Amino acid sequence: MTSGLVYYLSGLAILLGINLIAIWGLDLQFGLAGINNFAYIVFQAAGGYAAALFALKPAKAYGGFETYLGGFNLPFPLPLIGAAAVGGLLAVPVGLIAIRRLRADYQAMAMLVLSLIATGLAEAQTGLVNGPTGLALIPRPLVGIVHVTPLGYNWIFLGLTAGCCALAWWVARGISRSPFGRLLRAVRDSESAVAALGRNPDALRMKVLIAGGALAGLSGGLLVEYVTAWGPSSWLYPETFLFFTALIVGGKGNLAGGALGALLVPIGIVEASRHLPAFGYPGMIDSLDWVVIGACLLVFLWFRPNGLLPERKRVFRAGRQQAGGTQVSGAFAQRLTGSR
Amino acid sequence: MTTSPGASHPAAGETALAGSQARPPLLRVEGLACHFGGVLAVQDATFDVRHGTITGLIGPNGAGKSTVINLISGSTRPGQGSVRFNGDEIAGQRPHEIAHRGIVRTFQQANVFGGLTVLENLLVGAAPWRGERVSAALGRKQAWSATQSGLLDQAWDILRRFGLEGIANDYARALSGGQRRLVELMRALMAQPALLLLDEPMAGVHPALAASIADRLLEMRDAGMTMLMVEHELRLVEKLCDPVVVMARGTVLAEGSMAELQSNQEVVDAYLGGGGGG
Repeated sequence: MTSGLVYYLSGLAILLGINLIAIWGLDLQFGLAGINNFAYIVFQAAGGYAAALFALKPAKAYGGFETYLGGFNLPFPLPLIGAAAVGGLLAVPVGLIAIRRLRADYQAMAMLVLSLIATGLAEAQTGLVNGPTGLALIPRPLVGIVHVTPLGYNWIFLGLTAGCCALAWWVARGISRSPFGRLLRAVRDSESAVAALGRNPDALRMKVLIAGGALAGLSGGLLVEYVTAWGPSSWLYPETFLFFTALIVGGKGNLAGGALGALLVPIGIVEASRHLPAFGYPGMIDSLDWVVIGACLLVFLWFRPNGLLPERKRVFRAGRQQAGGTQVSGAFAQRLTGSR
Repeated sequence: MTTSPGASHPAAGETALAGSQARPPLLRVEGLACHFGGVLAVQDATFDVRHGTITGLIGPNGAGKSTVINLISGSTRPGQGSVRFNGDEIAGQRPHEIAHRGIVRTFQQANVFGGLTVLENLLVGAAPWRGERVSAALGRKQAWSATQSGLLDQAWDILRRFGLEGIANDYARALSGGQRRLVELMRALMAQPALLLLDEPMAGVHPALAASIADRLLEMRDAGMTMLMVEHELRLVEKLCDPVVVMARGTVLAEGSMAELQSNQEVVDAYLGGGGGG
């Protein structure tokens, strides 16, 4: 294997890890709690911008090459921690606008509108995050401290990404297996019944929006620190549907399903198209990417809505025998209820 | 072993009723009103629910019975009037706040969590506990697994009491309409409510299963649970409920035992003779 190929594959593994974190975050929100967060890419973007602004020096240091707010020149890992924090905090205003009072279908519309507003704002306010050009020269973590070859640095960054994946897996697994996760799945099925049982569905959804937002922010921070540039064209609203497609293809409500989806859609489809011979007008292959991704989404929604690895059933074994009380015979009850 | 569908427990019920007369009502509804646009759904509804009783709420379609349940449970905000539970005003509070106080409801259309198993439905029914916090989800499982084991035992006990342990690990979405009604009822029992609001619990249920549900409700009443039940099937209302509140055109028409109501000409004209019942 040539060193160029190894470099390419290690880079691909880093992107897979970054997508995995984002998809597990979306799985918490959409797969578990049923929130149609069509603004999900904004959480990743916010994390990306936050990491960039925390890592960059003040704009003057670059001779006015770009304009932005802040530039705090914070050392690793503070930009990444800041990215996760900003992604989580962004969930609060988004949740207050889109989660409370709105039905699920209107929530989706509100989220999509918020996504469009955020892109417009980032492009129009050039002093905020350098407008449509976006930010560049974002320092990579540990550069200047470790002195290695580009391939060696890729291995270091892959280790960092793997550590973040492990953290994301621990959060997502902890939530999905816990009584809190069970409540989220209940909210997904019937908000009114959850409220009638004494839980506040808005508060539950807000909590998971924050948790998922933090993971999206972390993935955005990692992505920006790896590619060292970030602009509005990197996080247009269709990117949200890339994550949704990955989750629906792989299987929502299942961490393994999310991982499979991350491998098949953002890496598999997008990377496979890079190796196609050029044909048609310039940019045609990029457009075809979206056609294939859209077709995948529709096919799975029609024929396999639970994905390749569906959510697992939680089975509990029978506990101790009943201490007392009136019993109805099982056979009689089955006759009454028509159960198997 | 089953109890006969016709056999209630009058002695225990009468004792509970006699005891409840001496105490202030558990729930007092006064002058409750609600309108949807220009349509007045409920107006000046006033009645009490006493401890340890199954109070029936009957009336023809469109009488406002389910709206009253929605107003008490917080699903709908009242335009005016008062709902006092254990002496505290609860009108206008949000559903989860009212449920926190011990009022749990079932729905006109069985409202189960289809993507959860029957057992998981029951676990969600348990009163809120520490294990449901985010911190518990991210902490050690041992911190909440013991409490969950206790809840699981309680859920299995309820399932056995209803003879449904065989479907404990089935998804609720795979159940028949009657089974879903039972799951909703069992889930409400997990909450150990002070007041259970039942909105047509027998609707669409096979008569034999309805009789079985009725027996369970009588057991629950005899164990001290208070219930307010909307029901169209008058034979079941007669068997289960005392007192019975009759509503028509959004207002309370009369209140009393079924025997008393059957001799009330106004009630007979509005409902019993109008063919609106079961």
